[in-house]
Amino acid sequence: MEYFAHLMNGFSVVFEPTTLLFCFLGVLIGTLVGVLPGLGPVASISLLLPATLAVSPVIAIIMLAGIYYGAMYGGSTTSILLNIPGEAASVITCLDGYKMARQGRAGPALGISAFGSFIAGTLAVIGMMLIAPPLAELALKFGPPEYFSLILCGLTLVTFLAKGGMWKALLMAAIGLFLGSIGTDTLMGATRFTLDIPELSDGIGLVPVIMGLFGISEVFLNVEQSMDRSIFKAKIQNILPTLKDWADSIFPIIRGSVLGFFIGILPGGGGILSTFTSYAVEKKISKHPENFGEGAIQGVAGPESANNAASTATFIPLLTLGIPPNATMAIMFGALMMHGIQPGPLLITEHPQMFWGLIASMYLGNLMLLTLNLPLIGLWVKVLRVPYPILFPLILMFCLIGSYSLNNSIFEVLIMIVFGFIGYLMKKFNFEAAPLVLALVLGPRFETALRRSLLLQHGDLTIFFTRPISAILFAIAVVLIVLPLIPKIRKKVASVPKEAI
Amino acid sequence: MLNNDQISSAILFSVGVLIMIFSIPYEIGKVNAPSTGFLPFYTGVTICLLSILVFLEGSARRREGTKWENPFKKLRWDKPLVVTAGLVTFALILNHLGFILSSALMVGFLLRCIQPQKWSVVFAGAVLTSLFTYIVFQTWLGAQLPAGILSF
Repeated sequence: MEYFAHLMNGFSVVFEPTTLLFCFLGVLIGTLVGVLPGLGPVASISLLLPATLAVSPVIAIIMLAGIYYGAMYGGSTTSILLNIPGEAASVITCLDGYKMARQGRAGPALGISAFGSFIAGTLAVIGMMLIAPPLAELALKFGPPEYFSLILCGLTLVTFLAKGGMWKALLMAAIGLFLGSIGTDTLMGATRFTLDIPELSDGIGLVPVIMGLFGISEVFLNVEQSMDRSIFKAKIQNILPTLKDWADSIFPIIRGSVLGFFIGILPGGGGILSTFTSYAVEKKISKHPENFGEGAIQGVAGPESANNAASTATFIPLLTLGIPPNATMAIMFGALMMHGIQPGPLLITEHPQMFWGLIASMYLGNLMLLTLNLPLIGLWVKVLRVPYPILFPLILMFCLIGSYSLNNSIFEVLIMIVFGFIGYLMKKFNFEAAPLVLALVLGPRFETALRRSLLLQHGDLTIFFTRPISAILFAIAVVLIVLPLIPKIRKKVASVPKEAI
Repeated sequence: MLNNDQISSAILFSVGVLIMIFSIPYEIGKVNAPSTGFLPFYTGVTICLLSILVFLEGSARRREGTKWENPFKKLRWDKPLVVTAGLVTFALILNHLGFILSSALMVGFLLRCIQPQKWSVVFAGAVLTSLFTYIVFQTWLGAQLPAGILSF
């Protein structure tokens, strides 16, 4: 009953005309950036961050959240029609979605993807509504040692799930921690590594770094190869799935929603992991696994639902623990801080309008997306026909304005360009940017928690192992580091000749 | 010849060493009283240790036959450099020429140099992009874009 009252309050916030307009704009822009390959939600949210300073924090977060889950909806369109994922999370949809399109079933593929996303998004919002408040209450018991262990656990989990090797991902996280330490030391007030550049005294800006690593580097990767792409030209019809399509898809949608929700809560989980897991599960339990990859509708329904449930669930650790689980949530963290709101366990009690307004906006946003995606598919296809050589200068322009207008600083533009090039090289050498960004965001908090814990206990490191919550989180971090080593050690032991033992 | 992982880890090892060296002047402190340089210094140590692990992993792969692979092979790697040059030039001229002129020049440059378009497309693309972004960001969203020599 209490939840219901809170939710009604949330709806009263969302139904104000300005909020409604910005929610709509958020999901519309989100769908557009999801449709367009090369401009993801991370770069788009960074880009629009400065613009949201003109509106109230609630409206700003509702709009930015709309961009995020809107992009998850839109990402499937390019996967199905173009065989190019608009979003990294839509990679798996290419396998069966594009095959369905080639078989003349682009309509049902797009339709089930939109309906599945709607159902999953709505279920995830309900889950978030039920889980977030008790989790926030638990987090109120956290002190500096618990926060240190939690951040350590989060960073380890992100690196554990990263592609390209765990050591490489940990290395990126360590570099992110260093970058996060640039600027003013919050405990002592001294400045570090600023090279006498005044702009660096507040640290390296998150927005230019993210736009460089995710936006500019993506453009670099795209321009170095052939920019011609073939677009599915056949007429898209029968968007509403048939009864048989529904029968084939409903359980994958439900399974995908549940899987996606729980994976989304994990740091580093998010969309990509949830889609791959959902696809693997569907293939595993299917009576006809051979159809997967050949245009099976379950291969679209499950992952697309998982992807949307995960994108909603990623808000839970951010809003309750103050720990962003992925790069997009890191930007959201920055957005909340810019608006003077500290993400964490007190957010729900101190800013109930923000939390419940966001939840209500997600209900409404999912409905808007369903009505946007199905009738406007023709429009999105037209957008896709804009050639990339014409499109990329516009993407770059958006990135440049986004990084400049935050502080009206050319220096931040230069930072973005430098990180764009670094991000490009990182991709060439298989280093992931996400652990770096997360560590950059969490770095100052990590340092404060570590130093405060050590000061409290006069340097006694056992504080991290003697407090139960901290000990559990620390143990998880250690297990996550050790776990991938076990098969390697076993392999090594097995390869040693018996006589040598 | 070292392979890709070995080369990248060697570079990152030196980054770690540099971080350690430059952290020392900020005072590292002790475990019971960590100072300003404490976290950066130990982050530098961690980077060095992790670089060694990546290097060793790379060495093991090299023994298995993974050699140096040119990541720019068969790709037009000069294009990212041209784009970077365009972006840096934009950043340098922005405050002098103003947003409209600098953005039009940059977009025109990119349209003509990366995958050459017809002059009509270049001209229209440059002017329209510049005006569109100006209207959206300056007029609608209230961003403070530099006026420069055009005075608006």
